Amino acid sequence: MRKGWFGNFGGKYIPEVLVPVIEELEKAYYTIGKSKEFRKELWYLLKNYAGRPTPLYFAKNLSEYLGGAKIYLKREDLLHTGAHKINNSLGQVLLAKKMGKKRIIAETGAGQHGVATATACALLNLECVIYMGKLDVERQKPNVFRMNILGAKVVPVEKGSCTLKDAINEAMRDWIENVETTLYVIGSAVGPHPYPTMVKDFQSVIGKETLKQIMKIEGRLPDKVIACVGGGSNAIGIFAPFIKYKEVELIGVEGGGKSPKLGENAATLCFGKVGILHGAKSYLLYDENGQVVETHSISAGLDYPGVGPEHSYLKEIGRVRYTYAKDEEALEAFKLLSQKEGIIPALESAHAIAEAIKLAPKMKKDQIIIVNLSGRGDKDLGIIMDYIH
Amino acid sequence: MNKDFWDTFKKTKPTIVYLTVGFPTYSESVEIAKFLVSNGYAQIIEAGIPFSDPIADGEVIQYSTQVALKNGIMIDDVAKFIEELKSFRDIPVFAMGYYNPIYANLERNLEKLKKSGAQGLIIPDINVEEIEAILPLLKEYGLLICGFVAPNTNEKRMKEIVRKTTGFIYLVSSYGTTGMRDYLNWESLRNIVQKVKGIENVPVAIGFGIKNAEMIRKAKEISDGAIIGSAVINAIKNSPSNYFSEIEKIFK
Repeated sequence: MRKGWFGNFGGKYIPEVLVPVIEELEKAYYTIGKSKEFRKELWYLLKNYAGRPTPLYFAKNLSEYLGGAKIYLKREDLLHTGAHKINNSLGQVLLAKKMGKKRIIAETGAGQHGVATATACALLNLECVIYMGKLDVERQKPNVFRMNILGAKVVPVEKGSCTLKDAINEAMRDWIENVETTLYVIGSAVGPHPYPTMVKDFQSVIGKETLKQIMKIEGRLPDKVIACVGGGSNAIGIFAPFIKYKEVELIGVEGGGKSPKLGENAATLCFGKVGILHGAKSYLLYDENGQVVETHSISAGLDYPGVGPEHSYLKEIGRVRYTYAKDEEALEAFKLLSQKEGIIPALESAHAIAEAIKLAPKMKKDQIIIVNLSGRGDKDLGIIMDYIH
Repeated sequence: MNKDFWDTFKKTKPTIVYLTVGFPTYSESVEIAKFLVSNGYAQIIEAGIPFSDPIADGEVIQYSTQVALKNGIMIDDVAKFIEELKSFRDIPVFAMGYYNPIYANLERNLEKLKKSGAQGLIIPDINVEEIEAILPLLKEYGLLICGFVAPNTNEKRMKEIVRKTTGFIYLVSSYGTTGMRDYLNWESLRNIVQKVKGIENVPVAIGFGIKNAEMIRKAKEISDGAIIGSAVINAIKNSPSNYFSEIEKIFK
C-alpha cells in the first residue's frame, strides 16, 4: 500500500503551505513518536495520569435483561476527562512538546477532544486554542466551561453549519496562518496523512488491552466488537488488533439522526459517496454538486459529514460492517444502560449500545459482544433534559 | 499544447483577477468580469467555483462563496460564465475551486469546462500525487493545471510541482489564507521565483495578499504576473451600488 493511503483512501489533500509542516510532523512521529523513550513517557502518563488500563466490564444485568449474548463494556468512560480522547491528546501534545512547538490548536465537536487537549496542554504547559462550532458551544456548555478553567481559549465558529466540520475548517485556517509555531492536534482518525495513522496508533491501546482482557476472562475471542463512528477514532482504536482475526465481526455504528435522507443524519459510510474533505479522500456526505451537506445527529461527537479514510477502506474490503442508530434508538440505549447498569454513557457511545441491544437477543448465551463505551454521559444531560421536555 | 500559452503569458505579464461566479449575483459577476477585461485591468480571469468548505480562504472570499452558494451556483453556471466571457473577449479563463465539487463528477465536469472554453484548472487543495493521477484526463480534455508553490516549499517538492504544472505556477506570497495584506516580503519572493525558474522557465504569478496597483506592479517586476482577488471582492461587497468605480481605484 502507498504510504499514507488505505487502498484508495487517505492521502494529503491540503494547501501547499501546510505540506512542509505535515512532513515535519510525519518525520517526528516516525522517529520521536516511535521511540522507546517516548512510548515509556506516554505510558507513564496514560497509566498514572489518565487511569489506564481501563476495565473490561461484564454488563451482567443488561445481558440478562436482553436474554442473549454476554455483553462486555470497555470502560473508556472511566478515563481522566471522561472519554477515550485523552489517549490521543496526550500522545499528540507530548509529541508537539518534543518537537518544540509552543502553541496547540484543536477542533472539538462534543467538547471531549477539546477538554482532553486543554488538559494535556495544561499538564505540559503549552498554549491552547480550541475551535468549536457555535451550535456545539451552546449544546455542550459544561465542556466549554471546563476548557476555560483549564486555561484554553475557546473560539466559537459561526460559519456554515456551526458544528464540527466548520470548527475543523477554522482550525486549518489558523494553522495555515501560524505554521511556524503551531501544531494542529486532530481529535479523530481523519485529516491528511499522518493523522489517521497516528491517531489510530495512539488509540489502539484500547483494543490491545481489550484483547488481553477478554482472553484472560473468557479464554477466547469475542464474536462481535461494536463501536460508534463519527470520525472513527474510538472505533479504529478498539478494532485495530482484532482486524486480523477474521472470525470476530467488527461493527461500526454511525449517527442515523432522524432519517436516511441527506442532511438528516451523519451516517457517512452508510449513505455517503467517495469525496475529498479536510485533507483526505474518504466517504463523505455531499449533494449532487459536490457541496458538503450539513449533517444531523443528537450526538455532537458524531455530527460530522466525513469519516476517517481507514474506515472507508475497511468498508470497501468488507472487513467491518457499518450501520447506524437513529437518535431515538440512541436515547433508548442511553436510558437502558443507565437504568440496568448504573452507567450513564455518552450519547456517542449510546449508538454502539443501541446496536448491541438489537443483536444480543438473537445470539446464544455463550456468545460474546464487546462494546467500546468510549465516553461518559455527564456532558449530555442538558440535551437529554431538553429532549425529554 | 501549453507552449504558446507559456510564451504569451511571459510576454503579457498578466494581471489575473479572481471572481467568485455568482457574487453578488450571476449576471453581475459576468458584468464585472467584462468590465475588468474591457478596461484592461485583467488579462486573465479566474472563475471561482463556490464550495461549502473553503479552508484556504479568508473572510472576504468565504463571504462571497457563501452568497454564490445561496444563489444556487454550480459548476454548470461557472461553465456558462466562462462561455459568456469568452464570447465577449478571447482571453484565458481558469476555473478555480476546491477539489470535491470538481471530483464529484470528474469527467463530466472536465468536459463541461473544456466546452466552455476554459484554459485550465486551479485547485488549492489538490496534492501532487493526485495531479499525477488526473494528468492523462486533463490532457484528454485539453485543460491545463496550475501548481502551487508556497514560501516554505522545499526544492525537492518544487521540482515535482514544476514538472507537473502545465499552466502557470501560483506562488503563494505568504503564510495565511487569502486576503489583503499591507506588506509582502518581495526579496524572498524574488528568490523563490528564481528557484522555480531555475528548474524550468514556467510562467510564475504571485497571489495572496495583493491589494493595489503598486503591489501588482511589484509582483510583475519579480515574476510573470500578479493575482488579485479579495480586494476586488471586498470592493463589490462594500459598495453594492457603485462597485465599478471602487474596483477602478484598486487598479489605478
